[in-house]
Amino acid sequence: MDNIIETKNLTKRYGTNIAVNGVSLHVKKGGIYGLIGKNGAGKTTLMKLLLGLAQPQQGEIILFGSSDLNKQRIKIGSLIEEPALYKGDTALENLKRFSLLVPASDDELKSLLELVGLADVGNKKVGRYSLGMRQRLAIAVALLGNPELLILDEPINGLDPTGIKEVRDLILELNKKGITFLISSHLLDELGKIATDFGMMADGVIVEEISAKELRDKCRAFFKVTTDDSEKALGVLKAWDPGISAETSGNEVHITSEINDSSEIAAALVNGGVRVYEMRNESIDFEDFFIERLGS
Amino acid sequence: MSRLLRFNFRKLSRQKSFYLCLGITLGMLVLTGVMYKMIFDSTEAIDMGALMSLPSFNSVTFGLMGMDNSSFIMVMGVAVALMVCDDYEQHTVKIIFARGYSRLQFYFSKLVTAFVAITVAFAVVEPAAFGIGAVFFGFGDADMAKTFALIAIQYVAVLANAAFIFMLSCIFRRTGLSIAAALVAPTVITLVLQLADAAIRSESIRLSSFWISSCFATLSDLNVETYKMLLCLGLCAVYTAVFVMIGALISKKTEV
Repeated sequence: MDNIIETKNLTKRYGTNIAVNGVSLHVKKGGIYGLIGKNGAGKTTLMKLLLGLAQPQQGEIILFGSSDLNKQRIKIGSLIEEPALYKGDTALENLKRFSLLVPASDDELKSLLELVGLADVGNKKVGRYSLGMRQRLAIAVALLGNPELLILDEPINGLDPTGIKEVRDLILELNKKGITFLISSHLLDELGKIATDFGMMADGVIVEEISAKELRDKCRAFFKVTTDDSEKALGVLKAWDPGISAETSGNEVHITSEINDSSEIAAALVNGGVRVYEMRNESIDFEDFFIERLGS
Repeated sequence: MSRLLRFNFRKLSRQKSFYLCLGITLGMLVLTGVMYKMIFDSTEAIDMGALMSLPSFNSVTFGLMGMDNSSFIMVMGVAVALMVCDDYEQHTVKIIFARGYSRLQFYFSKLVTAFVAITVAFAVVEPAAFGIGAVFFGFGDADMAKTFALIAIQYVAVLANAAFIFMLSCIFRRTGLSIAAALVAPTVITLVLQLADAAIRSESIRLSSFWISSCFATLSDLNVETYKMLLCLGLCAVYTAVFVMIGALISKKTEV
C-alpha cells in the first residue's frame, strides 16, 4: 500500500454548485500532503468527504487500501474548520471524554497534553484558551488512539506567528514519528515549508499533484535565452555540450544546467547561426508557480 | 455502539442543564402543591363553584397529576433539545463521525441516553409528586393496580413526547430553534387539531384527543375508563415508534 488515501473521480454537489468535481487524490504514506487552493476551492468539502462528514454523489474513496471506510476511519485523526471542543470543560476533561470514543489511558492523555504544550494549563477551562491553544488541543484530540493519518483543515488559520511556528513544529515532529498528514491551507508559504507533496485545487478540481522535489525543480533558477529559432538553438547547444539540460518554451531556450560563463553560450549559438536577442537569469517563484496554475 | 453509549452517558451525568431542568420540575411541583393547598385552606376566598371544579386531592390524585402540574413535559423537552443539539452546536459531532461511527449509531446512542435521562427524571418526579401530595393532602385511598397502570402508561406517553422533541431537535440541530420547537410545537399541534375538530364538528371523533398532550390529561384522572387508557397506551407507543423512525431517517442523511 503506497497510498494511504486514494480517491477516484470523487464528486460532491450542493444543489447546482459542484464543490468537488471528479477529484482523484493520492496521499502517500509517511508524507505531508499539502492541499492548496483559494477559499472556496473545495478543500474542506474534499476533507469532509474523506472523513465521512459529507457523502459524495459519485466516485470512490480508498483509505489504507480498503473501501470499508468507517472501519478505517478510526485510524484517522482530524481537525476540520475549527477546533471542536467542549468549551466548558478543561483540556484534560475534553481528552477524557473523547478517550471514551478512541480509547487511551490517563498517562497517554497527559503525555498528549505535554506533546502539544498544554500540560501546564490542562486544568483551565477551554473557553478561556486562545485560538492557538484550542488549535493545539484539537490536534491532541485528533492524536487520540495513535492515528496513522491526520487530516487538518487550515490548522494555522488565525494563529499569530508564534502559534504558526508551534503548530508547524508539532506537525514536523509527529511526521518524524511516522504520522502521515493531509493539510489544507491557502497560505502557500507555510505549506511550502513542511509539505512533501502538493495538490493544487481550484473550483473543485485537483489541477495538479506534484512532489516537493518536482516543485523545487520547477521553481529553481534557469538561464533564459531568447532567440529567433529556439529548436535550432537547442540543437546547437546539445551539439556544443551533450550534457546540457535545456528545454524550449516558445522562442526561448531555458537552460537549467549550471552555467559558468554565459558568453560561451552566446558564442556557441552565434557560431551555430542562431540570432540571440536576450540572455538572462530567471527563476519561477514558489508563489508564482501556484498562482499560475490556480488561476489567480 | 457501547463506546458511544458510555460517551453519551458520561456527558449526561455531567450535564448541568439536565439537573437544572429536573430541579425546576420539582420546584414547579412543590409550588403547585402549595398553590392548591392555599386554595383549599382559604375556601372563603373563592366561590364554591370554582372549588367544586377542583378534584378531591390526596397523594394519588396529586401524584397522577404530577406530569401536568410540574410542567414535566415542557421542561424535559428543553433538556432533550439541549442534549441532542450540544454536539452539533460545539461541532464535536464531527469528531464522532470522522472516527468512523455511523449516523445511526450516533442517533440511537443519543436516543437511548435521552430515554434513560427521561426515565430517571420520571422516576424522581413521579414519587416526588406522590410525596408532595401526601404532605399537603394526606394519603387517601385508591385502586393501586389502576394507579400503577396509569403511571406505566404515563411513562410511555412521556417517552412518546421525548421521541417527538428528539425528532424535532434532530431536524433543527440548533439549540435555540429546538428549545423553541420543544416549547411551542406541542401547543401548536393541539391548537391545529382543535381547529380541525371545530371544522369537522364530529360528535364521535375528536382529533385533539389523539395527541400526546391530551393523553396526559386523560391519564391524570383516576376515574378514566380502561379503554381510554388502552387507547392512550396504543397511541403513545405508535407515536414513539413513528418519531424514532422519522428521526433515524433524517439523521441518516445528516451532513456536518
